[in-house]
Amino acid sequence: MHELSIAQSILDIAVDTAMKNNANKITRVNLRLGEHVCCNHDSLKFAFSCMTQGGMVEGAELNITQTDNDPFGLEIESIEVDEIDEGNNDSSLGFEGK
Amino acid sequence: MKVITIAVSVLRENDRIADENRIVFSDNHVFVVNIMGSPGAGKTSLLLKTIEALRQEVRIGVIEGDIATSHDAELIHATGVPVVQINTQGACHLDAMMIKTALTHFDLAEIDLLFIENVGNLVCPAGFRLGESARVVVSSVPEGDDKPKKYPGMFRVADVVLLNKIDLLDVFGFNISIFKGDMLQTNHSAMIEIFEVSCRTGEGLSGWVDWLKKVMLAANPLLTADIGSEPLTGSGR
Repeated sequence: MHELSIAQSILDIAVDTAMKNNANKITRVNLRLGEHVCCNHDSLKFAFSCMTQGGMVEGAELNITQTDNDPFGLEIESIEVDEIDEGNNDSSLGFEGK
Repeated sequence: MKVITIAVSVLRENDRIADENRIVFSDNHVFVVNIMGSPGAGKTSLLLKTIEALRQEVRIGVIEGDIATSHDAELIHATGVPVVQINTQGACHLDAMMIKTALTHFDLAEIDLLFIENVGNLVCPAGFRLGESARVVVSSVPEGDDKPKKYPGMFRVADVVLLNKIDLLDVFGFNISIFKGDMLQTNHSAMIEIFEVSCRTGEGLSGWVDWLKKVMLAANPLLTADIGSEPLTGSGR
């Protein structure tokens, strides 16, 4: 029922993280979702796609993995971004080249 | 392309504010009960009965959460207990920020026990911590005995389950052992309490009220002078 506000929270965290890392574009957000989080995957993806129609998140994909380890968990695992200014990386955020 | 590892909870902002609320409650020695359940389960009726039973001994406050109207808050207001209505304007649950804002309308130093009546919904409120001391789920006989099985998220987070409208058991062919069996399969807490009550006839309510006194005293021994060190039992409340 509240997928729209969850999608907004996901985007807030993703954009905030991307900007802190001098990335210009977010291509993918990887989300881990517990089985008891009251959140429909399709509705969440739909809400996410509605909110990613411009700017640095345009066309970003939401990848959802269901987890059994934490039934109430709703965690952004990572984001995938383009065009990082390599000179200003914050290594404390756990960069992985790919 | 780069992968940036984040590993943060999407609900972190809610959890952060819930923790702030919890500290405010703790500093003011307020015991907070989050009441959840379907529309029509009897959350407001339970509140009215509980206020009636405890108001001489404990200073009570109420936050009412509803999608629309101040109907429930008016019912509570008529008892003379301080009440704040939150209209969620369509949102299906209360969140920690709404509670934080509502708290500005209370003098917490004047309250021992704060009830938060959540939006009538057996799904979403389970996912949002508010900073409460205890979570109560009200389920009722007309809803059917399959609810713990069908809504495991809600029943899993409960500290107490009240099965209301117990006077209608025969009318609805409700099987209590199925309800309790599924409930205990879903909720693995050793502390879980189930009370069978009828807010209409008053049956079973003393067990719930005694439990509430017991946990309040455990959380705040300073209350002893007000409500006595021994919980009341079966006094026909």
